[in-house]
This record gives sequence, structure tokens and C-alpha cells, in this order.
Amino acid sequence: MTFLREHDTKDRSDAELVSLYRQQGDVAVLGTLYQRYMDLIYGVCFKYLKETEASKDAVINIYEELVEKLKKHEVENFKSWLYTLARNHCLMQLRKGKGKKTIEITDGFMQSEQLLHPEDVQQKEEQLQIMEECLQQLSPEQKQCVELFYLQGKCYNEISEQTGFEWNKVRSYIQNARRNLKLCMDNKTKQS
Amino acid sequence: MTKAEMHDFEKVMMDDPMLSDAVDGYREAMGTTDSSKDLAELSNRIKAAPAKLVKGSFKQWMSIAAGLIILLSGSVVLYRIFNQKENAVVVQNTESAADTSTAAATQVDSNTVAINEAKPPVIIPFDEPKPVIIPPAAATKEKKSTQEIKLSETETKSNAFAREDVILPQQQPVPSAAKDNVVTKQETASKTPAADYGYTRLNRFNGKIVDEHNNPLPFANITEKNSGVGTYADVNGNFVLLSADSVLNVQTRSMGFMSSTSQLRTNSNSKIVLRDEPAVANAPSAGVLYERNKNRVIRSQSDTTADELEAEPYDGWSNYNLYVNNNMRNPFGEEQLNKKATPKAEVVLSFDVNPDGSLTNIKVERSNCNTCNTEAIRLLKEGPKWKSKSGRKGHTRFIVRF
Repeated sequence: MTFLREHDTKDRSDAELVSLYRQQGDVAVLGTLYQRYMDLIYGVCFKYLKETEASKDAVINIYEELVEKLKKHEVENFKSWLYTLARNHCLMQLRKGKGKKTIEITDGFMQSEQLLHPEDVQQKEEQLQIMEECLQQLSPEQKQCVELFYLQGKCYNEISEQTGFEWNKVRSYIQNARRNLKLCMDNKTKQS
Repeated sequence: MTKAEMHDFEKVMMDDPMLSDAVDGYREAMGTTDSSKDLAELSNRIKAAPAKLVKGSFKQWMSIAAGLIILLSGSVVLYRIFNQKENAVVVQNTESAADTSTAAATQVDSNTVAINEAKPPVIIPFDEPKPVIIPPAAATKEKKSTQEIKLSETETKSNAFAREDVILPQQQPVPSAAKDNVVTKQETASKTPAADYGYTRLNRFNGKIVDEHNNPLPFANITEKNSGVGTYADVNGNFVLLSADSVLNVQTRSMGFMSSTSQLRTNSNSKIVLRDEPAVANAPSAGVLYERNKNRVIRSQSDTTADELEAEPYDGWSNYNLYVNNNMRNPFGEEQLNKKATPKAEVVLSFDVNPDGSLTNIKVERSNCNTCNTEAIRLLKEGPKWKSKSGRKGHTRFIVRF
């Protein structure tokens, strides 16, 4: 019976598994769900805690927190909710262990997935035009990285080699550029 | 990963903050640890973890269930304790009610055993569970009317009074329902002795009736010789008598034993030993003896099987038989008692036994000897107490054979 159940659960979506867990309280279901993201959780924990043992403990502890919290809270997007949970856990750990050390929260949150709306061709033309204009307004480094990444399809390593910017720098340039472009385009579309 | 793959991955990463952080983490971890091994280990731990967690919630339910069971059993125990207390109270009431009914019967009896002397000794047979009060003849004349066979419940109760009240000249309040009736009859009863004899200090005579092997003889009869007034021992053979006299001459008898005469002294515990009836020289044959014995033993009996009866004597049928045999006052005279061919005089009585042990609604169902009826009723009313089998009012009957 367990065989079939595992097979069943593996094919189901996150949302399905969440509701299944909430109905039945079957921890095995939760286990399957968690394993999908365990790698990422481990990585995230390691980023904050910077230590193997601590990260491993964190992964297990987050799992246990999950058991209770998933029962209580309504969760729309499991992945992002889990991510927040993990991050908060790690930050709490840090606060307890090391006193008050401020850690910069990346502006990753700002970069949630954007839903693409169906657009007319004409609108698309207009938008492209606006983007061209905004692109010019970026700082040279940002502009360069964006062009290399999006227009030329290069990976960070390549860009890093080419520009001489550090890998992390490349990444942050691209992220900031994206934000600026978005802001600029929003302004421009409002104006017009 | 190829460069193109990397590019794609990075593209996704940009929109996915979680992925982004994770990548950061792994970049940190690179070189310091073997991530894949750690991940494998974690995977195993996650799979193993559920077992523990499931048990946890189970334990919770178990502890709740255990708590409930303890509460339930606690309340059951308390309920039982309270029930027992109630039963004790009921038993006491039974005894006091039985006391009162015997008292009434005695008064009725006094009529037949008329004591018409000027100064009859004041003897008050006194038994711990069964106070039997015999007021002097003068008082009892007023109670002639109570010869009726059917006695109403109120009358039974009204004839009753605690012995303390009769003994002492001062009247003490009686804790019974029909208080007024009690008081008036009390007055007639106690005033007379008081008037006749002034204040009499009563002496107590107690003792035990046993056989040669020191076995108690339950319900043995013990009677004062001159007045013919007596009582019977309890199921353990103990008896108490009260009298103004300091010395009592009594006759004791019990089934199958030679009756004996003894002198009791006041405030001393007497032991009366009865000896077995000896074998007579020209003893009747075994068969005759058997028959005689059978008749003797079954002096009182129910005419239905024991199981069908709703009530039975408190100390059992065989003891009750002893009582009837020992204390029967033969309407035909003493000699008749041992005759083999006794006329089969029978009186069938029916009555109700209340939960407290008191007897009510005494009726003569049938009888072939009307003069025996009174004696039968007297025996019943003065006799050892009954108990109702079911705990509720029980109707029963029994036969007295003379």
C-alpha cells in the first residue's frame, strides 16, 4: 500500500500535497513534499548559517516546524512560503547565537515572478520602444551586463570573464538594472 | 552544465529568490563540505522522522483517553460509597421498625396471658436488637380492641415506643411518625407502673444460652416462671431481661434440649447451658422418631418454594423454625406439643415485608384452628425480623403448624 501511495504522491503538485496533508495529517505526504525542496533549503540555510552542522540541524528543525505550521496556516504558494519560513528560522538562529548582527535582506522579494499579460502586437511595439529609452538611462555597468545577459544570452561566468566584474557583481548589476528598467518603464507608461 | 544551461539556470534564478539564496549557499559551501553526502543524510533523516512525529500526536490522544478513564472510575467509586451509606441507614431503620412492631404484639399477647395480680413483677425483657416491652396487665386492658387480626400500619407504629421511654417514668420524645398516638399510649402504659410502684429502679439480667459444646442456641425461649412472661435469645444466643427484682427465676428451653430452670442474678452475665434430650428407655422406633423430628422441625414453613418468595427471615429459615418451635405457646396446652399425632392445626399467614424490615398487612390466608390464629400472629410479630429479597416491599407467606 505504501508503494502505491508514494507513487501517487510523487506525481502530485505542491498544492495537492499540501491539502492532502492538511486533511489526513499523514506525515509521509509532508516528507515527500519537503524532499522536493530540501536541497534548496539546505542551500539557503548554509548561506545564512555558513556551517554544515548548523545547516543540517536547521533543515531538520524547519521540517518539524513545517509539520505544525502547515496544519494551521493557509498556504497559497508553498514554495515561497517555505522559503520565508526557512529564512526566518535561520535569522532567528543567528540572532540567538550571535547577538544582534544585522544581515542584509536581499531584495530578492522584489523580484517575484511576473505574470505575463496577453498583449497586442501594437502594445508590444510601444513597450519595446520605451524599454530602449530606459535602457539608455542605466549606468554603463548595468547596461553592459544586461545586454550581455539578455541580448547575447551569456551566463554569469562568461560575463564575468568578459567584463572583469566579479560573479556576484554581475548578478547584482543585472538585478539592479532590471529594477531600474521596470521603474522607468512604469513611469513612461504612466506618462503616455 | 554547459554555458547555455547555466545561462538558463541563471535566468530562472533571478526570478526565484529561494533558488538565488540556495545558490549563494552552495557557493559558500563549495570546498568546505561534500554537499551531496549531507543531502543524502538529510533525506534519510526526513524519511525516518515521521515515525516519531506520528507517535507524538498519538501519545496526546492516549493521555486524554487515560485522563477520562480515571475520571470515570473515580466517579463510579464515589457513587458506590454513597450507596453503601444509604444502605446502612436503611438497615438501622429496619431494626427500629422491627422493634416497634414486636412491642405492639406483646401488648396484644398480654391479654391472653392475663396477669391479674396486685403487684406483678415488672419484667421488661430487653434484647439489644429487639426491645420487648411488657407493661403490666392494668395498662393492657385498654388495648383489648387491638386483638384484630388485621392491623393497619399506623396502628402498628403507634403501639411502638422505644423501651427507654417505658422504663423511665419521665417521658422522652420518641422519634417516630405517629408521635401523638405514641405519647398517649405511652402515658397509659407507663403511668400505671409508676403509679402502682412508684419509681422503680430496674435491674439488668443478661446472658447467653448455649449447649454442652458451647454452641449458641439461637432463639431459645427464656421465660420468667411466675408471670409466664418471657423473651427469646437472639441469633447468637444472647438475651437481656430487665426487672425490678434483683433475682429472677427463669425457665429456658430450646428444640431438642431439656428445658432448664435457673436463677439469674442482677447485673451479672449468666451462661445457661442446655443439655440434649436424653434417649428414653422405651424410646420409640427410629421411624417414629424420624417422623416426630420431621414434624418438629417443620413447624413453620412457606407453602411455596423458597425461590418464589419475595421475602425470607433475616437469619434464615432454619433459625426461624427454631424460634417458632421454642417460643410457641400452644393453644391446646403444653402436653399436646410433643404428641406424635398432633391435630394438624395450621395457620397460613400472609404479610408484606417492607424494605426496612417491618411487617405490615398481616392476614390469615387460611386456618383450620381459629384459636390458633392469635398465637400465629403473635409469633410472627414478636419474632425475629424478616428481610425482603429485592430490597423493595415483598409479599410473602408462611405456615405455622401447631
